[in-house]
Amino acid sequence: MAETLTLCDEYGIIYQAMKILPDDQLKIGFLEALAELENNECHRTRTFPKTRLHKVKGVKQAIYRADIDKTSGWRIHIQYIGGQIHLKDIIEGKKHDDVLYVIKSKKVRYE
Amino acid sequence: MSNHCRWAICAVDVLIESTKSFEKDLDKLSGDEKIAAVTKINDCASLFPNQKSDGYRKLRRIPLSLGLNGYESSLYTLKVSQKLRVILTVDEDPIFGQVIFTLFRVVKHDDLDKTYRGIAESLYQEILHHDRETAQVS
Repeated sequence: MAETLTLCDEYGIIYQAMKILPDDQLKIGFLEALAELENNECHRTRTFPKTRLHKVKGVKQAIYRADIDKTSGWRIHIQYIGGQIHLKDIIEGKKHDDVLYVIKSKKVRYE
Repeated sequence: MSNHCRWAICAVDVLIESTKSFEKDLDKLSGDEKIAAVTKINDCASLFPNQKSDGYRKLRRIPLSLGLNGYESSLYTLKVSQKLRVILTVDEDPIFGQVIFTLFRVVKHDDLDKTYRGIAESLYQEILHHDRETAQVS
């Protein structure tokens, strides 16, 4: 079995994702994204081919964007704290360019 | 972004990315100024793997009236000479074990304030738009 990092879901993002993702393909994509984010091998090799994980620039907090798939624009926001992955938000495709707006509107989650 | 440069020193890499605006500014500088700017950036970047606090001591932030609502901006200025300043973001990226320097502009000191605020407005435009909408509603 693959070694995994602890993945925290204090804000019920998994539940929310299952409710708001519009089709089964995106729901499966979301689960695959989670699998990649918690996979220690991906962190060891620093390769995230599915989610194309990268840091949100311009803010000091260690906030990252992870794609659910490559075309729809649906993304997950995570924060990396003490070696754990904290799910912070799921962002709808059309809103993905407004990252800082979304971060601000849910500010309490990112501190 | 037009250029990437990666320092591989110890466990933490420093990735330097430059924007087209930065490259244009650099092209307008004299040979000596260009060398001074690149040297100062490299000197600062080289401190981050082992002497991070010394690296941050070389950077300055200009207070913003944008109201980032508790978030800390990673937009800084770096002094090249009495006349010249570099405007950049410095983002620590623990998952990839790197620090990302993004170089936005190199400007004369007289133009620093205006240019810095312009970059901040562009970088945080969603926040500003949100604030304007909020102000209109309230």
